[in-house]
Amino acid sequence: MSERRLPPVTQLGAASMAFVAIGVIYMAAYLPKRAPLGIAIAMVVCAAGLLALNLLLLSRVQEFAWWRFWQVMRWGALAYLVVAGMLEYTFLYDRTHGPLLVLMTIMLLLFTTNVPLLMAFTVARYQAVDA
Amino acid sequence: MAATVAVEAPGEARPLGPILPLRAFPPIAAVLAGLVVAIAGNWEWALTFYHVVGGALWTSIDLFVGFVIGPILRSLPVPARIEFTRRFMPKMLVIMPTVVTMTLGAGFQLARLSGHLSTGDPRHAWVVVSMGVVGLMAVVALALLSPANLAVLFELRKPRPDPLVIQTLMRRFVYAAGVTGALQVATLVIMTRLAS
Repeated sequence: MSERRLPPVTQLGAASMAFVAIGVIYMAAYLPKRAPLGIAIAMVVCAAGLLALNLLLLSRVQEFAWWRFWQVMRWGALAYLVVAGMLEYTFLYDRTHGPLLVLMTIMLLLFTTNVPLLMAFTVARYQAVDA
Repeated sequence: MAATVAVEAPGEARPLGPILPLRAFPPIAAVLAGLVVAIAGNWEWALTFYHVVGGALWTSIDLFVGFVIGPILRSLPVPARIEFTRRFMPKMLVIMPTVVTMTLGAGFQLARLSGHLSTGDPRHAWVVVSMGVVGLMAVVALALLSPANLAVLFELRKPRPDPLVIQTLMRRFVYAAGVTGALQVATLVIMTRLAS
């Protein structure tokens, strides 16, 4: 097993997903009332910041099996887009609207990006660099 | 056993079948279709069935993998571990998301129907705590467990899988399953408290 120095993509991705989970649970805890959105917005900002940092760090990696990364990322993203589409439909079906819908949609997008990213990174880090 | 080099030319990959067992898809589709019908129709018995059966399988599999399969696997010779992993991981990659979806989808709808989701319900706090535990399990499963599962399957498709890579990933998989297994004990406490 050859070890390459790689950024802490898994840790940052897990932290980003944890912020999304906290935001969703915080809002769900107030159902059927509407939660004050301040804390949820803070969670979204933290999650998005960590995802952006993750993407930035990953984009600077040169010795990496990008061919395999994009292969897994594409299929993973497709699968999770289907899941996200169904979840978004349930939001609309439940007549969620306004800032709450925007926040839930952003959280869903963060989730949909993080999961395939972590799958693709974990698979690609053990693969040949050249396709 | 000496480790082979993990980085191999992708062109040498032997032609194997699909990573996921495709024949498992029809029964899974039937299970998920049943879940959709139960939720759409607010069919209480079916929702309870999906939630209890899914939850029991999820909890049992997590505890069994984390605390029974894991220690056995660590004691096996590396070739045996590889052979076990080759057969075990594709099945886990289709079984676990299905039982998790069954449990959470039916559980949320049951909580809605029973009124436990409402802030005015005396058991609302338990539901929120259970969401916290599930959130933590979801992060562990989606960030650690599932990617390790997939990476092992890709490694096993190489002409010469690297035992060290498989060991590393399987250790991560089994530890993550152990953590979610321990969290499942918390879920058992919460759920029995909710139901009593």
